Amino acid sequence: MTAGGDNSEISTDSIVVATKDQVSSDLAGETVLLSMRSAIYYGLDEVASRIWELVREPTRVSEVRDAITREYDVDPERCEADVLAFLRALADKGLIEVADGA
Amino acid sequence: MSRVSLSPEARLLLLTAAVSPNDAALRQALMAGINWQELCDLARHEKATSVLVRELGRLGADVSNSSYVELRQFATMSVMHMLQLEQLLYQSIDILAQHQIDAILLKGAGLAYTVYPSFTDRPMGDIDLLVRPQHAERAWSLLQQHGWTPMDGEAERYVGHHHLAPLFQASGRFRLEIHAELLAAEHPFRFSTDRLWQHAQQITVKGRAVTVLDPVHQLWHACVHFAWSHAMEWGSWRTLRDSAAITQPTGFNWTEFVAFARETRAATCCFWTLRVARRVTGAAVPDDVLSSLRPPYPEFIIERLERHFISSLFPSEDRCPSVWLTRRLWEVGVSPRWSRHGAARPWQVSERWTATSRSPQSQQSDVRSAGWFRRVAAGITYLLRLSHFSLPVNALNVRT
Repeated sequence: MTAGGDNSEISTDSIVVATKDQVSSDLAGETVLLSMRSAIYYGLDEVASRIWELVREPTRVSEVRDAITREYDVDPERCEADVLAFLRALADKGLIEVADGA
Repeated sequence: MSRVSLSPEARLLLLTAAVSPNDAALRQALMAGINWQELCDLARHEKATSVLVRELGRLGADVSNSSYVELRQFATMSVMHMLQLEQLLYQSIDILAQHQIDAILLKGAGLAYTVYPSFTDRPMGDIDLLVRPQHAERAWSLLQQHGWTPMDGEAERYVGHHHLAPLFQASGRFRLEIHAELLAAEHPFRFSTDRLWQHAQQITVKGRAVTVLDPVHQLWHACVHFAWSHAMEWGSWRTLRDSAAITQPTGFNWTEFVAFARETRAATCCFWTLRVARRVTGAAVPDDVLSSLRPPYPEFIIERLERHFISSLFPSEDRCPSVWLTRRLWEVGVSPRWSRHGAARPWQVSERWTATSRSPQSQQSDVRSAGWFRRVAAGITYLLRLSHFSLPVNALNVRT
């Protein structure tokens, strides 16, 4: 697994999971995240919190995309682009680890 | 004559202290005309912002005003604080464990891991660790080698106190206290800290063994800390919520608790904390437990005192206007003579501290003691109004 590597490699086939270098807490539908590596806090809105909830266990990106598309009634293409961008940002910050799927 | 009553904001906040806050009661409280700025200030004072925001979110309350935005911001900051504080707690207990120093997590930290779902569910201002007296200095020094620092010149002031000078990190944002004893030296209770150590329980948190007080001692400490150390005027929301949470499990050993409370001369302190907790949070305190702990007064006196203690839970203009009267009412309620407390009173501790520093509390006392005649008149008015005090509706009393 790699964290914070070349995150442009994240694809819908990738399996992603939250790293152990963070702690988080729910706050009325939003999430407060603390990166223990950088000691920086992040606030996630409702949709981002849902994605975060999904990737707390190893999950394929396509499954994240499908869940968000289904739950929020958004255009699948737009959703895929947004989910990938968000996950790449999380990986950049060392908050998720990325491994290529089988 | 106007009624002494809790504000709508105080009532709403108290509803969130229940183990399972009642939705109907919360909605009813929200319709009572909430001043959101006052609610935000009160929630901050009680360190309740994150719990309040979670409850409002769970309820789907439609709130959109600038004070609610501010409340959410403070709640977010509170959660951030708790996330970081938990990491500092891990580091600290790991350091002490590496040096074979046993530590019991007291108060918030201990409760967070035993009666709440997570650390962030039990907001707290600091970490309190109880170590054996012979280890206290070494623990305090060790933590200073790992980022914790006391304030300049504070160490001497804490000589003989039940905890050493508080340690701080991040410009005072995080605070930790090493306790050698549970309570300040002036306390009148007959208990041995060794007994607490003997009954302490080991639990596992994130793969590390941590020690917490036995549930009976947790509740006893919560009651005594609130009713005696804080004279029922400080940390109210958290204590009442803790009391409800500790006593929620059906297996709580009430027989042992009552015996310990009576044996240690803490019966009345436990009675008042639990009576008020049951009244305002619906805490599952059995009638016979309260009967076993109550001071020897008829019910109408108990009811009047209960109204006074509930009206004093939070800062308010309706609070008892006289320090002198507040202390006398506390003495009537806790009954130091009947409880065999001798001359020990909680304010002796604060008076000892004000002898060496001017605290905000002492400044408040000056304001509250201004003018003997006015003070007496205000006190009499307060007592008269108290008989019309409307007790808060607890979570159990609201019909859905």
